Amino acid sequence: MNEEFPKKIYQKACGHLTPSSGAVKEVYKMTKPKKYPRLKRKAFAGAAAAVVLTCSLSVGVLAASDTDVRQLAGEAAQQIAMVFKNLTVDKEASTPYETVLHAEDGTQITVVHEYGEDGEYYVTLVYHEDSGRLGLNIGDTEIDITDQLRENGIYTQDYTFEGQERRLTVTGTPEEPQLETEILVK
Amino acid sequence: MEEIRYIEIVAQYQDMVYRIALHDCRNSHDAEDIMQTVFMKLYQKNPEFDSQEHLKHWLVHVTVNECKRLIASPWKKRMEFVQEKEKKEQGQAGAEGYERIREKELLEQIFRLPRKYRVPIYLYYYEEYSVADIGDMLGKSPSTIQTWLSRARKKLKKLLEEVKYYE
Repeated sequence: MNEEFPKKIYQKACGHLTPSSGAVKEVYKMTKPKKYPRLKRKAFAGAAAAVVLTCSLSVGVLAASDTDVRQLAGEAAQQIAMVFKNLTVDKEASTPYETVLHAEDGTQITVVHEYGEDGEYYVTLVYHEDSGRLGLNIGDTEIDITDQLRENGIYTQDYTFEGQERRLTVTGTPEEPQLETEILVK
Repeated sequence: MEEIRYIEIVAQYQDMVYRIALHDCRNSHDAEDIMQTVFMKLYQKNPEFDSQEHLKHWLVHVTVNECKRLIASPWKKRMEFVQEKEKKEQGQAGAEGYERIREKELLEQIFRLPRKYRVPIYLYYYEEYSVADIGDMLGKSPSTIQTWLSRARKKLKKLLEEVKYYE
């Protein structure tokens, strides 16, 4: 009975029937809006101009390493895995605070996770290799402290995290900075 | 529903849901709308599943119901799949291999079959469900599904002969 139906040709034909990437993007975005972890992208020296990573989800085959990505990186890195193919996790460079990923074209992507229980990740430093500038991130704001650190060898600033007054101190060089924070006791 | 789980389900079943919807409504835009609706329901309702098969049954069942809802809607654009595909393929004639042309021709004729036959054809010959499972998903008896498949094959054979598919 079934030999009259061209099953193999039909199966191949159906294999070509897929939804558009735009439609799939909408499906992935259907989850509740959340505050996404901050995303820092460091281009290797000599790489092309920086690409702005937004939620430009695209359909693609998830890389073989996507299990690692899911386990280590959380939702932002999952979405990155949908944009970049053949993404691998740098387990040595990754910490509970940030996940370092390498894309196929050599781009290094660093995903910074939540701020930490005690706000320890609310303040972070990012060195932009392509421009040679050091950025100090306090929450969602990035300040360029390169010149001040080079001139004075130290940079300090007070800030507030969850109602608590704190002080950050950056020492060293823009290429190798050290960051310390302390709670100010009144 | 956990986002990781949701993303896994979407990645695994987006094509299946889309294809079922496309077989039913024969229009890629409607099929995409239906796909989005189905996964939105999945995420919002967060039903519990005993097994992967149970999840798959749920997706098929909801997709078919959404197709029915769309067909019943007076606002549905009745754009035929065949016409839409022809517009997209203008200028591409001759560029594709013989096999691909055969595949498209076959799909075109399957999409000319009566609506009630098309989704069972897909579920039986592509997803390879049994007639009992298909009946369960579509709310029909296995013998009804068996009859539909048989009639669909006969009708398809005639359609393919008309376009000289086997020559």
